[in-house]
Amino acid sequence: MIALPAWMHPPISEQAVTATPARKSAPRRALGTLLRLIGTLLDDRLATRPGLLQAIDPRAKTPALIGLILVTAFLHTVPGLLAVYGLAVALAVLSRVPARRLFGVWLALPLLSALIALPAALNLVTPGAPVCPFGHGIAVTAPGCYVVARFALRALAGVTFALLLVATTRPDHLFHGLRALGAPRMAVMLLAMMARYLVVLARAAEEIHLTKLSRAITTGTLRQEQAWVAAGMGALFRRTQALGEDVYLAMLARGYTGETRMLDAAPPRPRDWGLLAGLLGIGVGIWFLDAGIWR
Amino acid sequence: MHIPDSYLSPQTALPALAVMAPLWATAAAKLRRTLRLRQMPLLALGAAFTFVIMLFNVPIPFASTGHAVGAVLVAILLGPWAALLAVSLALAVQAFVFADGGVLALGANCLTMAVIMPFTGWGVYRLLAGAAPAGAARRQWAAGVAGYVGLNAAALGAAVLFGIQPWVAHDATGRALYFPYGLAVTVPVMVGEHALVFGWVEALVTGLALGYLQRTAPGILPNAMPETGAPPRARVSQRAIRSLAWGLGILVLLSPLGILLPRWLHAGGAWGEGATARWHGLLPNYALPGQEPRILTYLLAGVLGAGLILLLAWIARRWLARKEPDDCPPRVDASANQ
Repeated sequence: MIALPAWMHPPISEQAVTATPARKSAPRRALGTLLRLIGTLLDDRLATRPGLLQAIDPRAKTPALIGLILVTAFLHTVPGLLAVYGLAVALAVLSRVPARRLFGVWLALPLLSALIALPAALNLVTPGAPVCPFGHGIAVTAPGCYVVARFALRALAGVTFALLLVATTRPDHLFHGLRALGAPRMAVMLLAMMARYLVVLARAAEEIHLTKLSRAITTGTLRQEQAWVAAGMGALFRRTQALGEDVYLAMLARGYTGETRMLDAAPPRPRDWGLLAGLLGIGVGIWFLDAGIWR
Repeated sequence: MHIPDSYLSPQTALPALAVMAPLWATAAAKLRRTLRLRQMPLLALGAAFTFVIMLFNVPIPFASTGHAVGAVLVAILLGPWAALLAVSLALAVQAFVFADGGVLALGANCLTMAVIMPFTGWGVYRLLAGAAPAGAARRQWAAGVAGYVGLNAAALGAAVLFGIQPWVAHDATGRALYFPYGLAVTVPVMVGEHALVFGWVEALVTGLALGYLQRTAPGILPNAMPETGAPPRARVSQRAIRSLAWGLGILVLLSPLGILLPRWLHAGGAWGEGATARWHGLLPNYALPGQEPRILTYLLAGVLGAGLILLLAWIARRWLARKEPDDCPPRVDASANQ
């Protein structure tokens, strides 16, 4: 696997994003988001690093990790969710996923989920034995704490498995992995083409925002800025239509007749199927323990 | 509005996927008939466009920004079935490439943002825009209202999906296994925040973006009536409509006679009147709940009732006359006569 050369990751817009002012305007924020999007799509360093999950064929890895997300959804107890999260951490370590990235997911969905579920710890939502009374009949209850912990842990385990799938697989390989789950050939082709042109349209949106920043001395009124954003979307749609026509003509020129053909890679190796079976087996085992012993 | 994994029970997420499967197949079949060979590149690029516009930051008051979903805009530009596929593809890429929005919850997310939102918005747009010409301001307003209604409809759908979780999935002691709040919390919170804040962002973006395209590239807009300059079809005369409107207004103003006359003449209520034991309605007995009828509430009931009937009649007329291209006067090709 050849790594992308540095000139394909131009940092042109980074100056526009990292420069002051302290409070970023809407175009600067959007520019930052677009840069992160392009960076995520083009950065395959983690997916090409030697590791356990990176070595598995996507047609075996995708069903395995989605299967583990499904198992997580069926678990009902905190010990079961801790066990499946432990499995996720073990897979991350064996796949050499950086700790900063692995534990960075704590700050995203799981923390938000815990905050959302926090009122459920009160006896107003989940009655039960009080653990921490606040007075006026309001108290945190033991069953309420269990509900919050279970909710946050389930979100943590689910998002960790999703991160493992995303981080250890290149996007185009990921879509081919969906074929193993029965996704239609047309859908896989559309997804792959969409991901490819996502970079093109993100660059076009980046240019639109850079044009605005480079020609604006000051920020307009709220209505002017909103109108500019809407015009930017309209301009992007016109570019999309024009690009769609160009791509269609290019496909016709290269023999496209409407049929979807895919170059089938070599079938997964026996060890890929073995890893798939092993991971799903562990997941099902945790589910049995959850259903039988821990409930 | 993205629903993450682990918020919905498998009893909700898996049936949502099952519901979406035939809808995806139907959308693909419909587009295959209309777009044919162009389907793949146009759909893929349309999906990429849908994804990217979600990243645009829209300035809102108090120095903050918001994001628009853009599903209604895509439905207006590409049609609702194309929007269904484009938004579904965008959500799939968000889930599988960026781990944003659940993998198992993909069906539920598509149900709210790829089905409810674009179809509701597109329907409202068609209803309000009617046969207006491509460059009419009415279309821009219709797009704004459609964006607002579509987003709030999707928010209601998401609120219902969240709110039924404690009822659908709970442990032996009755504790919620997934999202812990019921409909009494989710519906007011989600619909409230979208009605008060995010819906306006969506309305603004949809209306202004369509307005931009109307000015700069009107040929792009689909289903637009050509501005032929031909006279409109014969209709009921404006004078007759004004007369009827005056008559209706006078009757509404005279409606309090319904409570004044019985008082003056010491007569009882009409046979069969009064709220039933099972259904009380919005204005039971033409009064505020728990109060006796008064002149003002009678007037209000008259205005409300007449208004509702007119609205229903207008909707029925639109529904029955929805074959708009056939209703349009034919284009006259001036060059054919030279």
